[in-house]
Amino acid sequence: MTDAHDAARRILTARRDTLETVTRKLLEIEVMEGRSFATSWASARRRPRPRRFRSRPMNCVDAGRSGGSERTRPTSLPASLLLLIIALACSPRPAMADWLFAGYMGAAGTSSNTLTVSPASAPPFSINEVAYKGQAFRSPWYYGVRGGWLPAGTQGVGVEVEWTHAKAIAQMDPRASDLNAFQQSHGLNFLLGNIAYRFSPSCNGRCAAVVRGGAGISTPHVESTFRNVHQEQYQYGGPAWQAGAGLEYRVWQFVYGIVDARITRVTEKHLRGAGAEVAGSFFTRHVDFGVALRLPNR
Amino acid sequence: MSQKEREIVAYHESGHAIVATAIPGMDPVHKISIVQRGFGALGYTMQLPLEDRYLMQRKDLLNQLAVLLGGRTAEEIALGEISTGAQNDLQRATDIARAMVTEWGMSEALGAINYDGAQAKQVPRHPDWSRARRVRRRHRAPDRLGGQAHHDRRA
Repeated sequence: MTDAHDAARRILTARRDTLETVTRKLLEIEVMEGRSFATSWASARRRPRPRRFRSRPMNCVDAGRSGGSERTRPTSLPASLLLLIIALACSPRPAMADWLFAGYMGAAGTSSNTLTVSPASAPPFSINEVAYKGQAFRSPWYYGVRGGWLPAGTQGVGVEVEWTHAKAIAQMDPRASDLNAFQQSHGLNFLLGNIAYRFSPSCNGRCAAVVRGGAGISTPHVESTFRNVHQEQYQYGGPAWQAGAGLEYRVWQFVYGIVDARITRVTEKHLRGAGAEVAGSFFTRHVDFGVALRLPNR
Repeated sequence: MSQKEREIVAYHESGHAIVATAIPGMDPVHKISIVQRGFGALGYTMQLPLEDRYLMQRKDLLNQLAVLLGGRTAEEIALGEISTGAQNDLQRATDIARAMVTEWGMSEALGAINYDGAQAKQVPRHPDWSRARRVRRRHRAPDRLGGQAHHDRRA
């Protein structure tokens, strides 16, 4: 057994870099699939020693090549995005993953915009510089929920579905135009699908930083008064997108506290009012805080 | 579990995995975990065979010994210190080495003899046991057994 021990020592001494790489990765994600281990193993073995700490921007041309002039040729942004999407779609799914359910509150502010009003029996007109209030803590409150699937551990790309109930209440003089009032207080709602990337910089797996981007639709509850006739109803607003970043901190067991900052944008072209259609773009900044349950499937 | 202990466990499990991958012909590593489990394990490295297996060759057993000792060795190399975490590994490695000598007749020093492994409790009273112990003391049989086979494999 002493010599078996020596054999193990020889192997590990010769692969000290691999040992460090795999250990760091393991400390980061806690559970490593065989596939992930093989990747770490291969990357540690491929890395030439003299260039150990040199970073070089990778592009997809590099994959599988050992040299050549094409290595430094930059890949265009659309091509990179396309390749990224293909890579994400084609990459094998990890067998182990966590489910994440989050609820949050917070505040949102919508930037001033221009509303274009198209009456049914009159030429369209615009109202410029319409300001909005968010009133996040007045009923109905601002809130959101999010459900996601992400690889086990604290690093990786996951997918999420998110519902946000924000509000945008226009601050306008009722007598200034035929559009007497306009608000989305029940709310400026978003249903979004996100891709989120989580990584844990240096907090021993207790916390994770998240960067997310998403796309979906808005389903606003439009409340408008046109020529003193009030109408309100849920409508399809238009395609929406969001981008944001946040932090998740493990408070206890599977319970995390979350903080997010996000921006959303939606262009709503055909909001129906009583006798008129209203169109406008809504750019909203969100700050959220809440609680997440991360349920491990291990 | 403290960060220090997590680090020890991570090095330990990485050691198992790396030795298992470095040795040709070993079952591939399926999963490594440093998540503490209820039954006392602080981590584990799981290898899954690619096919059903009914026999183990001598070199397979020797490789298995190296994998079992890879965790303890990784701690030594990376941290310069050993811990109690290898208890189960040492127990299993000792069982394999003992069985190789006393049950499977894989010791060149003792020859192809079975020292009645099925009745392990009676082994000390077996007529051949005292002879076996003498030879084993003289040659430190399991150690040399492992070393020679590894030398052969590497050559």
